[in-house]
Amino acid sequence: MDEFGRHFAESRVAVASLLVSLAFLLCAIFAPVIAPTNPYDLSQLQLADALKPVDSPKVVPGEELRVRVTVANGTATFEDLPEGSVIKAITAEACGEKCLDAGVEPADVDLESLQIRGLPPGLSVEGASKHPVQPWWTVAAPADGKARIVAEGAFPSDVSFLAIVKSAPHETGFVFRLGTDSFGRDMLSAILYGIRISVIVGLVAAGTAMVLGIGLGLLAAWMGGTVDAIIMRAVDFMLGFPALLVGLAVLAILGNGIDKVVFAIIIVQWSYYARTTRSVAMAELGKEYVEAAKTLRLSPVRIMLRHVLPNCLPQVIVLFTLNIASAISLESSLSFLGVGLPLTQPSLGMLIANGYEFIFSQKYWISLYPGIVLLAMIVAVNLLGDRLRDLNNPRLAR
Amino acid sequence: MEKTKFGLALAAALSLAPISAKAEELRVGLAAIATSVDPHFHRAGYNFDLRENISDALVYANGATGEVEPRLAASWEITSDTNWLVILEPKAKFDNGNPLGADDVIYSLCRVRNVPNSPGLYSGFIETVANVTDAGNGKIMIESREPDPNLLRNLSNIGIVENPTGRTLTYDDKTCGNDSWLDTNGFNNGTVSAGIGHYRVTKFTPDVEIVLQRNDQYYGKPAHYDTVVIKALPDNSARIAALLGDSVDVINSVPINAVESVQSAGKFHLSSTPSTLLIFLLADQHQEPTPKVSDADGKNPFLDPRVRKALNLAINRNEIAETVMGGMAQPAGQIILDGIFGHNPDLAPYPYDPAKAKALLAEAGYPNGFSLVLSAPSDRYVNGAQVAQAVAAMLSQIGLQVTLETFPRSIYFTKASDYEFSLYLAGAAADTGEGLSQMINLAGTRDPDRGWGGANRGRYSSEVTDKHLAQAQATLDDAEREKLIQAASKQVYEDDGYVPLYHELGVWAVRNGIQYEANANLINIFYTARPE
Repeated sequence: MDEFGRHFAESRVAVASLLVSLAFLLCAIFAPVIAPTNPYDLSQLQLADALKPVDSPKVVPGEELRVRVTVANGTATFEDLPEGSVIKAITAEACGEKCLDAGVEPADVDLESLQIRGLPPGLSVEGASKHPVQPWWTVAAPADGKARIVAEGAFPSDVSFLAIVKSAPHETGFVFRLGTDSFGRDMLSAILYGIRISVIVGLVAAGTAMVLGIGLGLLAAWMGGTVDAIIMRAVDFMLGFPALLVGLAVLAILGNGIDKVVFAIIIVQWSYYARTTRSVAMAELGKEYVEAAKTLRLSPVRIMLRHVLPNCLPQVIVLFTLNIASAISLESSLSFLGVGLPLTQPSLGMLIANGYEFIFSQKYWISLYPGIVLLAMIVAVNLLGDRLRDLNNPRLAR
Repeated sequence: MEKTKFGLALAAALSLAPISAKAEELRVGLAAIATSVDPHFHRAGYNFDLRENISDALVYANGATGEVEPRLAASWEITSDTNWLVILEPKAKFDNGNPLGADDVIYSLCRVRNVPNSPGLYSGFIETVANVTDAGNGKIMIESREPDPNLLRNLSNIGIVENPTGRTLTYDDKTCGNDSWLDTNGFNNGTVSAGIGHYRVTKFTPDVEIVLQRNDQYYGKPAHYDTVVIKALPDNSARIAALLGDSVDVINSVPINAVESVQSAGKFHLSSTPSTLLIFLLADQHQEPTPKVSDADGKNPFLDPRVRKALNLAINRNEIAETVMGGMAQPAGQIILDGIFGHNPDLAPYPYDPAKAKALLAEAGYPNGFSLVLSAPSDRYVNGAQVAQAVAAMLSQIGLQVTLETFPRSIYFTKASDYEFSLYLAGAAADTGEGLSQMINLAGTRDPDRGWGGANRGRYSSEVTDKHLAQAQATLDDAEREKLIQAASKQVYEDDGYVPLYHELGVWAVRNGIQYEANANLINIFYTARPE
């Protein structure tokens, strides 16, 4: 074992990949402790935090008032404002023939935005950004709490519009280190929980598939004949389908959920183990120590599990390591395609898929960071598997 | 001098030539394309699209203007309360040169109920038709069971195909004495013509591409573009990339996140209109226990009107419409869109009041809420999955334990029709351009034989609503009919039968230089598209 460790450590890449893999494992185990928020708790999410870039503070949204304002002959009338509101009144005063200033009272209230909606054609708001489709004009952080409505021609004597006043939000101490997604979820927490899901899916699915595959492989090797033929044709059948297709089909029927994803991956992966175990076990079965065990009249189960299996394990463990990586990437692919996990419990693949929607609006952080994490995880596990395979390969032995 | 002028003219001609040659083809990228060329195959929005372009119905209910326009019916008159005399368009000819006859109309209406393997029939549209007869001289007589003001609007969804039987069928509401019907595959592979339309299908590859060729023998105003290439681009980013990368000229359901990049590209304009498409949540109001609710003592909590009211109060519609939908939606308090026949202006929008919602849940016996799976389609509506997630968050804020599951639309609606959901998100438009059909489709007690409640997969049912709707269906007087529809809307509102969320805005992104009509029913009309 010491010797194995020394051989392994000869490759620095392998050591680094082992450390990275362990780090991910720790992240997965301690995600609820490390993560600043619980991204699965829907009741904590507020849309006001949505799509915040990296390092933005979490805010408590300010007050929002929606007031219908009617201006007739230079005087503004508006609906009653709720009691206790910071804003006491909405004002409107003419600032020339083709111009009207709409504002709030008191004028020194810190406003985040003032939006004017539903102006008649020909009117617009100076310095405001207009909604691409709706007749909504938004003035961000208006000076003196005023928005200037201007008319192309003469200003109509009667105007009615909806004013939406948002007072400035208060910052809280909390900072979104990696930004937020479109639901106001903290990306850092979501990524940590995503790692957790990926690791669980990888280990559980690859592990279960391994147990199942080894069992069937040993059975095929021992029994031979019809049983062998049936199992191996089933393996051929499974290997004939692309893994992603099988996963999609299974999840399309069963619906989404972590257990179903695991099930889908097991269905895909057991065949690799069965084939590998069978071929190694067949080679082992011809060796003298097996014959010795047979002459001792040991039970077949004992021969296979105690004598043959340990000699098959090195190859199977290599396969297991590599399959963890492919299970993780299969889960991510399925989630990316929208059939994997429920939307409310995003895995890395789903986070990437959610961010993909925003690629065209320069909100890179939603996809980028989960992508990097997923990449690092799969590369690390793959390198680890490669190294184990090299150590197992007698042709490379010195 | 002369030479330079000539040179300039030549250069201008040369530079124009490729543009004008290219302009004859319109390339459209759609989020969902027709699943069949067969005009009667499946009643779904994306099939209405293609049907209107390739297979004319008797009339066209214009989604842009709200008017009923003549098509294969050149004109019509109401001879008695239930009898409509329709004069067929004499110039209309099928592809093989045969003129349109009364037998074709009768055959087509009969086929509506007899399409082999149809996933959803159009039969709701011909429910009120009692009889169709050849009135001679290119006229047909349509009799309705009761006075039916929307008869022609309903028939505007039925494409007329050529009668292959060689005899005139006798109309009834079953098989019309015929046992061999045109097969959908024939339409799809081009051996059977889909009828008389502005365009003909020259290539149909399901889920990939449909190519249309202008029908030069069309009897009416011809379409401008020679060919129309319709590409299926269900993925939002792919659709935007195709537009920005010049491989299509028009896309529908512009993803909200991409509006900015479309505008900043400077080559496109947005064409938009409020649509009648209502996005709603509907709770299972029939089964007990209901499949996707747990921790409720085996009861179906949605049978309690207080729980349904709590759902309505828990949703912050303004926030969904403005933040998740980016303003591309109008918050809805009822099924029918403001401005559409039947809208009830007296119904106040549902307030957003989570505290009261919580109290109502407690009153109904669920102080700690219950566990619930919210189901939603992942690829059907603009931002549908995001809206569902926002809804899930809002429902968990009133104390329900909500998980969200999403399915691709190909299996989602089958599951919904098999009543596998307890609370699901879906949408439905006013297919005929007025509110009654939408109310019957959504709020009528589900009864496939009668063609009612086709989209009412939560099986909301109220005798009062049904009574008003049935009465409205038989009322020819517009004002009186509108009152009845409004009364039905009020009943749904008071029952909290539906959780209406918003009416989607139809948004198309169109290359500058092309005029493309925004349609309130969200269907794509290619034959009105023109260069600007």
